Amino acid sequence: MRILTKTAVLPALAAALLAGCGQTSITQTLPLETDTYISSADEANHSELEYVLASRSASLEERIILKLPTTDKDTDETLEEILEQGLLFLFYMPFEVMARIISCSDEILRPENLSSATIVLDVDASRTIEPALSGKLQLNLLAKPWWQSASWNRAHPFSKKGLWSTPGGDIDPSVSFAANTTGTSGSATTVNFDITTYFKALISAEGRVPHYGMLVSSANPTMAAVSLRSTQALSTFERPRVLATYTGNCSPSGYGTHLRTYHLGADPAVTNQLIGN
Amino acid sequence: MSPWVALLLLGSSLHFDTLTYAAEKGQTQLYARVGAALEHFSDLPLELSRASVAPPVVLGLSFESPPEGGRGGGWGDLHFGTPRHALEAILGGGIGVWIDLKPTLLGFGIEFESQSLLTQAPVRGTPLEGSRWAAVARLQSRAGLLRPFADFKILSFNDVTLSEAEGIQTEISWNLSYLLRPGVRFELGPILAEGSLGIYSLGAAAIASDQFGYYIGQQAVYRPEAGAGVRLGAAELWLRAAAVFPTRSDSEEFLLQAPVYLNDYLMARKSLFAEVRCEF
Repeated sequence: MRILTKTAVLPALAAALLAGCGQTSITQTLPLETDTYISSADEANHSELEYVLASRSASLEERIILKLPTTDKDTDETLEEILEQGLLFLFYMPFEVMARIISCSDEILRPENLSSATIVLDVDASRTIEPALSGKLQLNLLAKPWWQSASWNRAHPFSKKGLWSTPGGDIDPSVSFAANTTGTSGSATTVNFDITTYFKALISAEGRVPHYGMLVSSANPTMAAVSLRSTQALSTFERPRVLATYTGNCSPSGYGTHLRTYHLGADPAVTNQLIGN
Repeated sequence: MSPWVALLLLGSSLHFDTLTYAAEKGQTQLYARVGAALEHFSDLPLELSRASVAPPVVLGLSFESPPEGGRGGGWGDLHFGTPRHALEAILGGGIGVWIDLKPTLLGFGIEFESQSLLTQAPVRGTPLEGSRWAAVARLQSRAGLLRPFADFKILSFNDVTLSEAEGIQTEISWNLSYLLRPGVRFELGPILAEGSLGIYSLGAAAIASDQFGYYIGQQAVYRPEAGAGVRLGAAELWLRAAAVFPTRSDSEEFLLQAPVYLNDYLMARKSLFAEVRCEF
């Protein structure tokens, strides 16, 4: 499945050339696969747009919903599993997914070595009105599953249980995140959220902690439109992603430092970048 | 796999009317049927509308050849329908054999219903555009004013793709459903009447994609039906009323779990059907 990189020999070879002892860092990019935005003004399905919107005013609010990938099974496998067991394992990041994400046999790519994890969203400057974005957006965890047609009032259309308990999305109050920072990716400005603690707990849980998704909304009572590239963006490199950095000590036979990028979505691509110790 | 917890009935009198009463001699009938939903379920799933779940108009051809003189018998049916919300094709039918167990008849056969040619919204991308197969059995008395009968069906729904948005395929799949319906038919000269109680168990359903999953558990549903008719020469005129009582209150889940639209109609709480059958 697309979660995983097409692990190439190149990074291993390059890493071998750089092999040495001491503390090293490895950064992985985990692309997101599904997102949408919901609006208090309409019930339309925005999941296939190339952008997602966040805004807030007295008469209108728009919020972004996204989700980390948590399964490596295809749809038929998932259907069979649900019918046989009546349980929804796909919301629990399974060990085998983590084993693939941490597919190297080195000592560094382990949950306990995670030093930072950041959600990165590229700003769509052509549709963004809000002038300064740092600290303007807040990130919350969602408390129930949602489908692509999610709207302000409904998480999914398959049941009465698909209605949000609170219009605009049910938030899990047990987890909180700091407001966004900004950065750059190539020539684009990015909106970044630090999710280190949460992501570490998720990948350490080995299938015991469910993840239903996240909600991005205005941190203030008013905010002009902020448009971010979605998982449907034409360029895969502009799509939402998680950057996870692992820092640890390597043995003489361990890998050096490298950046491995995993792009989910329709056209996965992998980039490999070497960074020094 | 749905357990044998509850015997299932699916008021399929609309279809089973042909094989319910194996005639004393072989007969071929042309029939037409229209229906109306008298009371809809309060909430419909996805983007279905009341117009899109209204009973379709059906035109069919059935034959029956009862066993006699040591010779086995059989039955068959082929019908075409169109939904009320759009002019589109629905195809269904069945075939089976009768075994003479004097004074009763035992029938075995298969049925199919295909709604996969329904291409227009809002049915497209919903379970209603799917198809199903059923193994059927029928035990019935073949003589007397009051003729009790019992139907049994095992229904298998084919998976349906609900969406491919974002390049992510979402499908719905079902476990087997089981149907059992005891009933009785009355015939006195030209006067016809029929009553049945459908008790059925709908198999669990699952909706899933790479990023989403939803489970609908097995559910028992009750469907009483009553019909009155008159025989005029080679023709029969029928009026039938039916009601559907799911055991859970979530109608959106129920309609996803039971996309039984043609033949065995489960899409409304109360419905009324008029049918004309002509022997030729």
